[in-house]
Amino acid sequence: MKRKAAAIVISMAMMAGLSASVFAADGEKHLTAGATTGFFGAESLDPGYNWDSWIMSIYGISENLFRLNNNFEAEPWLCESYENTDELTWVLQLRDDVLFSNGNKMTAESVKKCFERTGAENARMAETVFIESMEADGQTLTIKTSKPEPTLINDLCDPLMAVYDSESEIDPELGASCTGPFVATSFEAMAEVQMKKNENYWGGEPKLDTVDLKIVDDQDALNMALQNGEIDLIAQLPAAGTTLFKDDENFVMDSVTSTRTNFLMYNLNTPALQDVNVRNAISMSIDREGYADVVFNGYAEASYGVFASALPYGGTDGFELAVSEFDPEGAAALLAEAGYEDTDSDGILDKDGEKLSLNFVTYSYNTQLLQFADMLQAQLSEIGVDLQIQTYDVLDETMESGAFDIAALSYAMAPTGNEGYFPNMVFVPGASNNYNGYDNAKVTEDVEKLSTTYDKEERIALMRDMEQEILNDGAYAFFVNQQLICVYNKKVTGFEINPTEYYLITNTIDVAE
Amino acid sequence: MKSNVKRKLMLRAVIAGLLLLGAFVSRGMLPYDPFKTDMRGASQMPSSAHWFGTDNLGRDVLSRVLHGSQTSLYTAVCIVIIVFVLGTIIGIMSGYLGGMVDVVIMKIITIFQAFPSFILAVAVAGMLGAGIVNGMISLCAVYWTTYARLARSLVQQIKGETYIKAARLCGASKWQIMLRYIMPNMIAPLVVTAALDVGSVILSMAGLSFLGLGAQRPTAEWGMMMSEARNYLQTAPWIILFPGMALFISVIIFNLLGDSVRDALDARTEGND
Repeated sequence: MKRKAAAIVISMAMMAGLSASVFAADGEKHLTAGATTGFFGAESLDPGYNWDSWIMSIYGISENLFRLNNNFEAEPWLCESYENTDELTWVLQLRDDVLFSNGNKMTAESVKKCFERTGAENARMAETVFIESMEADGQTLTIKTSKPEPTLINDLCDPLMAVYDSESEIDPELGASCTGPFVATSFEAMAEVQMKKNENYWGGEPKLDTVDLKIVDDQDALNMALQNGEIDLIAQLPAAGTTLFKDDENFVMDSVTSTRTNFLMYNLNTPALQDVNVRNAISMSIDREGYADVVFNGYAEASYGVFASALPYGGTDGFELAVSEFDPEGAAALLAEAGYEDTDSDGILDKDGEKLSLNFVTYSYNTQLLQFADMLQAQLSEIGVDLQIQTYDVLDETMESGAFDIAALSYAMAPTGNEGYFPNMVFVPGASNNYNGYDNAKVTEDVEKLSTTYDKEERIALMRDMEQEILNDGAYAFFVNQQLICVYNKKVTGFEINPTEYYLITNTIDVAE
Repeated sequence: MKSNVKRKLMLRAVIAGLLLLGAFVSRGMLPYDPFKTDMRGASQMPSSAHWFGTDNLGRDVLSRVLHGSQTSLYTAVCIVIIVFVLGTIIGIMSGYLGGMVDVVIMKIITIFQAFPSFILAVAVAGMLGAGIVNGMISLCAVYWTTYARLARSLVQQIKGETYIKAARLCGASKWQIMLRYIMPNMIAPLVVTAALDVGSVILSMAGLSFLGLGAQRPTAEWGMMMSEARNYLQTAPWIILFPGMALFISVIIFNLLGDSVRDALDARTEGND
């Protein structure tokens, strides 16, 4: 009897302890969000490393001098005002009330030092901004560019240009001290980040006390985590999940057309792919409409051009298209024209003794592209092209080494509102993401001209000229423009979806009791 | 052998045989091309046209399950045969030759058995790279130790029997003794182990494929199919249900067969005693 009583007392004490911890947590406002590796996966919290600054901006840890609004227009953020005094000179007046999360003040000098460090660490900066020199005086930062850069303030919105305290030591786990509303309290690369509000935040006290962001690559687990209340928000919901939440009144689903495009990059160093007919045959075998309607549940638009039709220079109107529809027979005819036939009757085409077998790489966590891979593989096998699919958590190394024939990639193509962003990064020979050896002098010239052209009309004309070249060369197949979808528990308030994919966690997000 | 046990064994053997035969012949009579995608017909519920429904890419699930049966079942049977033969030979050598050979082989077995078996298989498959053949190699690397160990202890037991001594005195060579006198007398327990292993090998192979280390896209393999389908668990549960059922039923059939084999052979051993 005594033992029983003791057991009851102990279990009651345990329950009391348990509820006490729940109450303590209740006092604080907490948000847990989940996404796949593509949206939340950072390798470090060092803004200079690889693409990590992008993720840090999504986390709400880092901020920039300018911020993009929903129309891709740059607005001052950590900067108060700016003046373009001559073609090469920009005078930025920085805010005086911004502290880094470690308490140090953000000054023009600290911004200058931080840009210098990022430039030294990350090759992408040289193609993002063309800074020749910087001068710091109090809160005034004067930037001299090496050539006229009409889009400088847009370019400064790229999370790569995040402002952080580069003079203090960068913590190997918790990274750099930035100016955003949240600071990391624990970080596990490609898995989870836990954050608390930045007590020094300049833009008004964050409404949430703590935020926990988790990477869940299993789409169903992610959906279920939201359904059972384990997480409050899914960022960049894979489209297959939309049917689950669309009509559920407990959840709010927001979607916005982003500039994110799914495309194939053909490796021009692969002998078989040096023939434009082979490339176009593959591009013709893509059921773009089927992919957009079924895999994306309609949250995407089939694309035959280069840029999304929502952009003034995008779409297909006025372009001459080598591939304008899903045409398996046309694809087979093109391959025959290219000299391929199945001489040994094994179902795979060959030419000069070489089988048309290609190595296809994509991201292991991108469920849409994985389905696309299966789809394309099945489609191509019907016309005798063998596709070997390989998937990677981190694709960069494979791409850099050139160990691919075809890559299916997903890129935001104009996230900064600067038309030249993607061309500079991908189309120009030697550019950081020119993995396939694409080199067209006309395109390079257009990109070069674009970067120094102020006139809006002229910029659009240059873009269109360049796009036509890209379409003629067929070194890429841009097949779908997707929407950004976020879904959250209806107790979450103050959340605003942004088409740039740069921002997610802000100081205004709140959770109702 | 009790007639009841015998009847059960026969019945289960016939069912397992039918399953294997079915897997073999069904490839020639699939209702649809198991690889043909059809985006407009994706994720359809089971119907008279598609008995098991269609998957997220519009492929017929029934055709894929049938096509996958060959991959899933025959790889498992192959693996068991390979480890049975290899493990037994290594075990007999170890047990009969003794000395350094025995010490070295036993140390190797101990090292292999020190790892949790499936983790070891995952590690080996991960090192070799994904693919059915590599998946089979990795499972062989895990399963052979059971047979080697069992064979070794049986040999050591039989080695001391008087008829072995008699054979040796008559001038039989080492290999003759191993193959003609030892092997036939130790085969029963090994067969029982093999029969019981088939089910677990089917599951392990499906497990490797589920993790992406076994069969590769677009192979229709049950574990692989379940892995692909798990994202549609809520919206199109039939895509994962049918390969799962196929796996479940096959494993049960082979496990029951294994049980019957054990009952039958144990009974015979008892009868012989």
